[in-house]
Amino acid sequence: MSGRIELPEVPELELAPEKPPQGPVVWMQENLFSSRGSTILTLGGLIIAWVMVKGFAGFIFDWTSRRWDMITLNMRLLMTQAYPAGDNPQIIDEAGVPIDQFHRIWISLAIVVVLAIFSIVFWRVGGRLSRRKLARVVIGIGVFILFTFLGVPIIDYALPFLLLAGGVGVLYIGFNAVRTAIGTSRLIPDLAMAVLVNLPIGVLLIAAGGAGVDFGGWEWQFSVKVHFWTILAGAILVGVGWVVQRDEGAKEETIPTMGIIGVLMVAIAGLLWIIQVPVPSELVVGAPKAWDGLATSTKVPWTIILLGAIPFYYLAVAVRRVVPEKTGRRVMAGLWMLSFPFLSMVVLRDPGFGEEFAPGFDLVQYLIIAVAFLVVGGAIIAVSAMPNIGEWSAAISGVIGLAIIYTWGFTSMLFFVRFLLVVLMLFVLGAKTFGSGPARNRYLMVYGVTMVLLTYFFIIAKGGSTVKVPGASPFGGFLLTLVVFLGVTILSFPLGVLLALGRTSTMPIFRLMSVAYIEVVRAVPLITWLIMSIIFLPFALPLDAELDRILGVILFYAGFSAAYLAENVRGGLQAIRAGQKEASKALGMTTIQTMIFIVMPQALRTVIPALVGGAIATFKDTSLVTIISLFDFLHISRFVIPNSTLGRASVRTTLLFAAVFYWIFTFAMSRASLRLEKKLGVGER
Amino acid sequence: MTNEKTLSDNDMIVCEGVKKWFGDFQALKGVTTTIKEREVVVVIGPSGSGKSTFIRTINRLEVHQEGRIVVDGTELTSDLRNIEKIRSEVGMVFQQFNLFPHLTVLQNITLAPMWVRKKPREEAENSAMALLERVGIPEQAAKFPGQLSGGQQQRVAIARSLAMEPRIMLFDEPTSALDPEMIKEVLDVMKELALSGMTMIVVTHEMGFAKEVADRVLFFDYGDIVEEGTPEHFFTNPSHDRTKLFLSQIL
Repeated sequence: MSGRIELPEVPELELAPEKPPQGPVVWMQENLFSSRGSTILTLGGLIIAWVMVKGFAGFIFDWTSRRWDMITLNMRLLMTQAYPAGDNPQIIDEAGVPIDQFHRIWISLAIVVVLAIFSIVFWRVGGRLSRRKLARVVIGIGVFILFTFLGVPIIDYALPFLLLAGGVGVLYIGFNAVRTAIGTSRLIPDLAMAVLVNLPIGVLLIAAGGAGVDFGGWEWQFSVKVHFWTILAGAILVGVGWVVQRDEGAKEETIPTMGIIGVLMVAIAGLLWIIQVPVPSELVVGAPKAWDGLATSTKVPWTIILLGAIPFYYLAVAVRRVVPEKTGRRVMAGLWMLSFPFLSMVVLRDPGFGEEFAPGFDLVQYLIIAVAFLVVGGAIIAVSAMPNIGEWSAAISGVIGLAIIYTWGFTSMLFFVRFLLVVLMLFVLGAKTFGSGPARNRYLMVYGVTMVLLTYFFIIAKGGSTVKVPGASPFGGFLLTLVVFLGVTILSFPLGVLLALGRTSTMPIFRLMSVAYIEVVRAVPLITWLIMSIIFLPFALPLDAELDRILGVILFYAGFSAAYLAENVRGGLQAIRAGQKEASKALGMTTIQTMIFIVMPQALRTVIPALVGGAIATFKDTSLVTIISLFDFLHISRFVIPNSTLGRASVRTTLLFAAVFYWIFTFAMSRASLRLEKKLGVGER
Repeated sequence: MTNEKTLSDNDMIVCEGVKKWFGDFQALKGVTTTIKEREVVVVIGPSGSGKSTFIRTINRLEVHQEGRIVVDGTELTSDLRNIEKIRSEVGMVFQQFNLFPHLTVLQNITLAPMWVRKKPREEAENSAMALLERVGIPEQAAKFPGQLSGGQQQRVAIARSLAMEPRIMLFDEPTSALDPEMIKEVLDVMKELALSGMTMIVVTHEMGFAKEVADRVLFFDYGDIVEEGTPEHFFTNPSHDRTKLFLSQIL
């Protein structure tokens, strides 16, 4: 018989009937007012939302009592705490001359932006957006603006609202008139629609104003000028969006997302130079307001970064044509991993390499140790990788592990040596997977590079800094929040995965240790661990180790969050059917290969939501570092700025700002996780 | 039966008094049999009779507690090196396919050759495509297992095992989870494989397959071989009462 099996012909399928286009009235009828109950819910929801938005908007736009200038004035403090311009006498170089440290932040930011652009290009993020979808986003923004600004008290400013009442309709008709002039038209129904939508709003507002209804609880002294232009902008957005999304081609015609983002960045850069915000010149309520540009002190670097991003995008596209995509992605992943230690230790910390090393530090000694690890460690790994060595590699790894454990705290071994030993142990454990030949050589190379980098970073960390900063930590504010968050996330992930593997492992010692660790760590509050990170850390460390306070916090926090992460990952591991492991083993794969290629990828993707949830919680809980006198973002918003003489009574303002700021980041994270889930979900259908 | 292939005298699998317990329950009660090179052995029996456990001991997915199992000259002991060597020479196809859902069909097939046999990617992919051609679904290479029908998945699973160039193939009820109309496409592939001279042990309820392809049929009950013989003997003239009862119930 022949080896090939014929497939039957697939019969042609009929296409599903296309849904007829429906107008907004029909849509509202079907979705918002379909029954008595839904009508009540819709109206009730709108009223509640309106009342809340009105209160908040009244609060936000009351520019006399609110001290939004406290945020713009103190932006530097909020973001980094300790990178002042050259006017702070406490930040001096060796010659006693004050130095400007701002450039470090801008360099870091620029590096991250460039990396992000290259990653976007190499991973082909983006794609295209249909014109209709884009227009609907625009409408959404317009409606939000109108909704918000209609929520604020209007008694003194009836004029803008009267203008608004007709404004949307007039704009709308105007756009349609243009459309008529160009070609297709549905002017009459559009006109009817415009009147229908705008008339009740106008009548209601005018009537309310005439009847003397007081919409506002807050004293309203906001500029007519700003109010009017904002409302007009909202109306224009709604009008333009509405017209753009209407015609037949709107659904098919697509625009590249990256193009839209590029336009937005140019627009933001432009607005930085155009928009003026009121800055109270004095603290007296009702004093004449001065006007100042937005982001006065950071306008130039922001503009450079925003506009500079665009040529870099095209540069990256050009590079993608030359470099194979896969190589590019690998290089990018490596650069991202390097960027964190590089930025935090080199750019932001400014080590004076070769000068002012920590007391007792011996550069030659470190270099000798590093070379010894390269040679001896490399040989051990090469031996462990040999196919006929079998399980002896695990035994060698175990011996190294025991050496680390037994010398901990008893002998004065360099922390550096211990750290490299741990790394060597892990490499030996994994060696068997790579056998002989090119795979093993690559593995050895990875080991070498890891050792060299670790040595470099250890030397940098021990090196002195040319910046003398007062206080417990070299920086604070949002930079501290970000550094703690990134450090914890990056460190806790491998540790958590290891713990999860340990807890589900069949090796009794490994399992017992993992269970004990997880149960102990989770049973003690995070705040306790944070406090212990400064009080008990010296006891737990080998004799001569010395840690920076921020590093200590990151280590303890990472250990804490790894315990939770391990439990999440364990859930994923248990969701994997036994057949998967059996199939992998039946193919002759080793336990480690089965873990790396079969179990972990599946386990991790089932727990993405939980992992991102954990990351978001970590991000928010970084605010707890305030307990050990680190000045994070929230601490500065809550205490430092309000307690300064100038900023009294601005606590509500700064707290609201902090809340929105946190929200932006956490929201972005949860959206990113959704995207990731969708992308990885392909194989699971 | 017109089975023209010739069995060689090499013993491929030798089992002597294989015993296995799950807790207090004895699943195998001293199974003794020898399977020769190029032989196709079909194992039948009621559920719970130990037939699945038996073939799973051959690549040590189950550990036997007493007795000896020698596969292609290597005895199965707790020595991990032997186990991995034997597993890479013994292919196994499962009832539930057990394809890796996060990898494409092609990646499912190339993973083990690349990491266990250390084959270069290109070579592994070429032979994977040839195998997909052989089982009749080369056009599905880029899809994920979840996008395939049950029969197609099982054929991919067979191709995945064959990619390791095994000398023995174990089939653990390969068609039991399939819709009736898909059973044939999998059995066709298995028949083709049997005729090509692969040493095979097949646990199945497909009596037609046993009659047509098997060199020998083993009937299992209560953890041991109750009766064995050629298909002719087995289906026409069974000697044991238990066998007669079983056959009368399923035929």
